[in-house]
Amino acid sequence: MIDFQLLAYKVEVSVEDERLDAVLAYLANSADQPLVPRAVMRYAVVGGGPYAIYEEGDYLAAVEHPDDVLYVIYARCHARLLDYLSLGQWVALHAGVVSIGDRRALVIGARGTGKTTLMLRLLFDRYAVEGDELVFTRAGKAVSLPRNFHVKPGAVKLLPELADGRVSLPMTSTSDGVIITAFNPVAQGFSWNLQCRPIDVAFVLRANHGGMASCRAISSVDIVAAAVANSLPMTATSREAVRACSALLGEAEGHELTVGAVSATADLLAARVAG
Amino acid sequence: MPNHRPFAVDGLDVNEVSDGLIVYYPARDRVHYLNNTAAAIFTLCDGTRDVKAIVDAVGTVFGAEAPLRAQVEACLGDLEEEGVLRSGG
Repeated sequence: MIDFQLLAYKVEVSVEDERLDAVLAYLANSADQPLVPRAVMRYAVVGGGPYAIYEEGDYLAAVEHPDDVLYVIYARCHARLLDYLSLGQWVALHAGVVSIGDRRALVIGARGTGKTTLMLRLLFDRYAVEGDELVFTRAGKAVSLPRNFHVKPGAVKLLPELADGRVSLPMTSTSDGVIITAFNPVAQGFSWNLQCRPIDVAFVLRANHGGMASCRAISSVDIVAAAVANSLPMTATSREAVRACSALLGEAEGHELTVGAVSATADLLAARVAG
Repeated sequence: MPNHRPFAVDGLDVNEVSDGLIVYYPARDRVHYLNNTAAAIFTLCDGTRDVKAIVDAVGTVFGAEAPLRAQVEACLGDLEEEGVLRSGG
């Protein structure tokens, strides 16, 4: 049995094939979360390969490989969470969250801008990182999706701390053969505490393709525009995204952070957040 | 344009931020990000002021940093073209 909290849900996955425990560890986060689970999502995986997957007792899918079991359950439980939160007017953004001192920062960036690498660098530097990928916001507060950090091969080259331990991390592979490992901060000795509260400073990441890291102040109008552009359209209408992002970031200090070497970028961010 | 008294159309969702306004126009599903100056111009468009009065008021608010009359008119023209302002006679 694998079980973990996914914000408003508790997720339970029972398996007959014990080999799936190691595969599904990719999915199980250990974050301390600010929401009380309202319901349980129950999955059962029957067989030893091929596998039959059941959701709340109803047949869901038949798959051949352990990685496919992971993919189906990962996609379903996150889709159900997004549906639930969007009904409650939560808007999802591509962003990470970190607290430094008593200030809390939102790091906005589309996929591929280096959010995960930067957030892991900040975690290794002992800052209170909450998430690396997705944030939900409502009524001026934000909470991260409790998801193990998905580490791609490129990040391992940039973060020496990952080089030794990566082989022991849960992993999966994409359809084009890229190995992605799941970094659970708690399992690696870090604290991982999610919060649901306002944001003091916001950064928009800009890729720089090998150039220098730099940071410049930008207006809250520009920060809100970046947040709206990085919201997930399936979770909110344009009106909801504009309202939610304005409420969250309308009074926040804003910066555009051009990504250079990861340590230099993290140092710049930390210095701006610390004030 | 000089004698027009522009005003905001109904149904706009206006969100105030520290240095501007974020205006959502549901009829066109468009978002308008107004900086401080554009936000001040937009706010002055309540149907009681003609363009000269708006230019004068912006000048009073921003002093030496105030935009030129042509810039205010260009901003008004853009907002009218986007449909968020209309002009009364």
